[in-house]
Amino acid sequence: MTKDDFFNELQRRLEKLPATEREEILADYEEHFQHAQFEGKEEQEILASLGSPRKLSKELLADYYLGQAKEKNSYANLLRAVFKTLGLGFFNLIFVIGPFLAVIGVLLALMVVSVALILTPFAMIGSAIWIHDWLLSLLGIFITFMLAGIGLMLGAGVIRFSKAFYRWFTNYLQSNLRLIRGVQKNE
Amino acid sequence: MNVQFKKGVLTLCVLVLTLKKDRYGYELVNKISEQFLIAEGTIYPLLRRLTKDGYFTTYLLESQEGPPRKYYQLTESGKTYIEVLIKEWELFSTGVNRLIEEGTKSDEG
Repeated sequence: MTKDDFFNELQRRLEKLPATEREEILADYEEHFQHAQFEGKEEQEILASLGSPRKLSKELLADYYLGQAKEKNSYANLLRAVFKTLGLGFFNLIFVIGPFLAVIGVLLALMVVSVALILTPFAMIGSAIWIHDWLLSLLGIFITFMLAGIGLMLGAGVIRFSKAFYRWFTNYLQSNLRLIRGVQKNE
Repeated sequence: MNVQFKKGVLTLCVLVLTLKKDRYGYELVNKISEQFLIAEGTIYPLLRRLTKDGYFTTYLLESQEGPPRKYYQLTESGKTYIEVLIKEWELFSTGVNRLIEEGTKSDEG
């Protein structure tokens, strides 16, 4: 990497900042270079101790969004700042995968319960062959039919909820990505 | 080292260096990197943040020798802030020191 590469990359990564802000930042680094070169340091040496443009721009962007959040007091800005600070990886791990797995787990469990309930009359009919008390068998069949009814309703509910969840979750993911990329929807 | 922790410490360092006299960016970077290993570029975002928060004002000065210098001067609120930070740091470091003392003592015994 050369000095020019450093400045080009920094400039590119700070594209989203207002021009004056970006120019001030670049001027600070330019001044740093001038002082270091005046002291007789080599370009490569200066670059190595400065740190990568990627890392620096991340910090500068996070600061900028945090400043915006403070000034404008907008929730979206605040969130964006938080996500920028935490980074994409950490955010996905905690806020997306965690709740996602939990909800999927609950839905699966409910589905299994509903299927089991629907199957109970068949089990009862099977066992009625072995129970010679016809009154008891009839009672059993009634009860298991009732259970099967509950199972059907539960199943229908779970399916409806899963669909709604899916829609909501895709929206949620999309808006996350928007937030993380720092693209403002309505501005 | 933990990033947030390092940031907090660097904030303290930068402010305390400007307590007695105004300093320019490169000077601050040098002073700090003499003490510990940091990516020198990260000092500038920190200086910007502190300026935005109203703890610093800046002015540019041409120098007889070498490039122009952007000086950082503590404001009144910067002076109050550094007092708070120093107190916090002292509390924190005495706490840590006490734990280190206890920890190393029980290791030997």
